[in-house]
Amino acid sequence: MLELRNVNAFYGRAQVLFDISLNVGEGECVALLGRNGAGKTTTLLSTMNLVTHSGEILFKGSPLSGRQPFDIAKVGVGFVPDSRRIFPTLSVEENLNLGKKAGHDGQAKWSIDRVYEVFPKLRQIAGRDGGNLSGGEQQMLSIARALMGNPEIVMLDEPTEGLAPVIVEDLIEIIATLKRERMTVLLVEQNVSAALSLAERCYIYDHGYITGEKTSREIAGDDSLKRELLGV
Amino acid sequence: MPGFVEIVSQLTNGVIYGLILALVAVGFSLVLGVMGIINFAHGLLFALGAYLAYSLQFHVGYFGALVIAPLIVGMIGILMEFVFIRRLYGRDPLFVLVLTFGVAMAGEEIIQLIWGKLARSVDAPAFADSFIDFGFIIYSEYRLFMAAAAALIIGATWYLLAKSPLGSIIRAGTHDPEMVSILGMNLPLIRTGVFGFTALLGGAAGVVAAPLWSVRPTMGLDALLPAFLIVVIGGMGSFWGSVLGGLLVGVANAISVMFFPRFADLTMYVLAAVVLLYWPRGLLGKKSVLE
Repeated sequence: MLELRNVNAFYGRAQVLFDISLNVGEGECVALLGRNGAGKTTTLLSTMNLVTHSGEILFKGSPLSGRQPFDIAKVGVGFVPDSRRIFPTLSVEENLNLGKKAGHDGQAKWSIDRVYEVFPKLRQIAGRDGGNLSGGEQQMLSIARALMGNPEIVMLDEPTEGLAPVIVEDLIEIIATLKRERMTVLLVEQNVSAALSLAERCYIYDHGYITGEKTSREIAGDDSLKRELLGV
Repeated sequence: MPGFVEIVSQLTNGVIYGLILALVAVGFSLVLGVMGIINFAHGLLFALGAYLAYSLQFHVGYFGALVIAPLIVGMIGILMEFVFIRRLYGRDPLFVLVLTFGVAMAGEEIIQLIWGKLARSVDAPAFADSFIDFGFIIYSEYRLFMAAAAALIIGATWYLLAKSPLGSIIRAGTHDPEMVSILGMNLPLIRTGVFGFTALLGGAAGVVAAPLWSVRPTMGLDALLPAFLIVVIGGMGSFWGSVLGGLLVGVANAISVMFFPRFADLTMYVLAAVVLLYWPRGLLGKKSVLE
């Protein structure tokens, strides 16, 4: 569904991604693992065309490069950035409605009612301003808002970052629900155990390069690799 | 010492002047908030509204002009954004300053070429060209109409921004335009639309002000400088801040006209300086796009 071929990305004159190639199949959950600054987030930003890059990025076979971010969203790519980027002066419900659009096939599987079913907490705080939410609530809202756009793939950038363990469990359960519904997920995650519990396959990043591609099972059985990824 | 009647009359004049300035400032502030652009050509749009009202009044009357002139100015705004402004998003703010300043200067020259250097006058509509006797004071009907029209347009704009789905897109865009785009909304189109809408507001202010304001080529600048200060006084990005700032400048101006007429032109600058000393972000301002 999503394929990157030999992607290089740049911040100004500094190159931060080197020859990245990866693919995410339909209905698959793939995780990008690696230390801070390894280029995982930049990979997602390149896909949304928010950073300068070269190489090919294909979504269902058609190129995304050169398209505007809103156009990329329209063809079915949902993106939940790591800073969540909730609109603080809009209520929870207004934030959700802002994300609302039909899927590329004109169908709207995710309505506001469906979103409230999966995120019951958001229904309770529907009228509250986005600026007055806890970190966990913001993260839920950010994911829910992306779903309102009925994407075919959703890219999650560090959804569990900075959240309490109880909330992290809730989030993992929510992402697992998305997987059960055959949503394609590309996950960037520092929390290796969370990533391994969700993803079938992982790409390992190091200093802007992909140094390996492994199944989650392989990583789970490889203590030294796990230690390296955990950065301990 | 001015008498009671003069004080009431001047203060009312001040409030009405303030409402017109607030209308100009609201549009100016919206462009600043959504696009991060200081639009020095906003005063030009105000002037164009007034001049179009002057020309149109002979064909369609005042009310026809009140509808048609802002629409034409809105379209000029859309054209301005499409041809000039959109090239400079995300660039050094200095570029936009120079560009919009240049457009304002060129526009003023074009106005002189079309309408001449001398001041023009726009007639107040027939139903409001007289005076009302309140017993203790006799007051111009048109000024009251002007206050009502300005307040109505300000109220309608607030409703649009605060209560409509389009308004929530604009408010979201003020905070994080890139995220608006990530959610699949056509950001360039939204920006063009917002710019056109603020041009329409500026044009409407120009039409409403025309019968009492002297319609001359420099009138754009006469409105722009106060509007800029009003946004600073009220706080960048705050809608009600602009309205409050407008009223304060209007009333302060009226008071100084009564008591210190020689210093009247200085008042708003002193007011801005005092406000900034105690409220560096303006009275109702939050962290702004320029920080």
